[in-house]
Amino acid sequence: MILDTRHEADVLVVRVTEPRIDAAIAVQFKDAMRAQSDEWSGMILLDMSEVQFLDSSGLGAVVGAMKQIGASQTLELAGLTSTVEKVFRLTRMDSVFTIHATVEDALAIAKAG
Amino acid sequence: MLTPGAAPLRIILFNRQEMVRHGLRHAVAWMQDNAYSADLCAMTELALAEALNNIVEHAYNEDVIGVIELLLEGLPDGVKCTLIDEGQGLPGGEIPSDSQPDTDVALDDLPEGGFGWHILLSLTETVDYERSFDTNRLSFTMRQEAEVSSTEPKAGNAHR
Repeated sequence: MILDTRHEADVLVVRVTEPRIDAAIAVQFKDAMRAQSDEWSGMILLDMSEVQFLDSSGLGAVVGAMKQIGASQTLELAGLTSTVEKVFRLTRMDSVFTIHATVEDALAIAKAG
Repeated sequence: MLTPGAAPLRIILFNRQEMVRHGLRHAVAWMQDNAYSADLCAMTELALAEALNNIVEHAYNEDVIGVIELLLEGLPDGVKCTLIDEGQGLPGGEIPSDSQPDTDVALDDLPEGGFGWHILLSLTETVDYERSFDTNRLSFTMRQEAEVSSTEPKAGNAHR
């Protein structure tokens, strides 16, 4: 399993347990995300704190995951490591996604809202 | 900084994604052994990943076995990376101009690809490409200065 999930109030927290989301695993990642979003209609928070490496294929898979989730549901990101954050910044995807420093930050905002 | 007199790293890989991971592991280990900064190791790994993925996905057809030579050479202030393959040449015989995929679009229109060259060109000063005798040779240099700019305070990056 490359994803580990838990429910926190109205949020499904999906933790990526792979240290790399790269071309070798991008399709598998997107499929695993689809399986999660098919069974949950609320907000999904993707915990990327264990991901040390993300290449353009991995980024494409994260974007693809958000697209397949669709506009009716929310996907937000948390815990980007410095290299992963750099890929989002270089491609300006940091302006497309809502990115939280930590899962705790994201959940606090979700509960307050 | 680089260990004086360190031997270059030369690895031969096949055109498979698993081999890209394998090659990147060796490249990072070589850089760590030669005391490059963690940041330069990470940026070089990313640049190499994009270049290698491009070869695996575009230069070679999936159904052929192709080889990729990966060469890392130490410089006083960085590392020179060279990738040689015998696949198809780059379209038009040159490196594509750096274009940023458009992210200011509707959800359904967001790009899921086309980031590779942009990432590679953003991380490197110059990328050289040469095709001769049915061989592609791509080389680029990663410099220690890259570390300085990427460790600036966040506010310093905002205008870029």
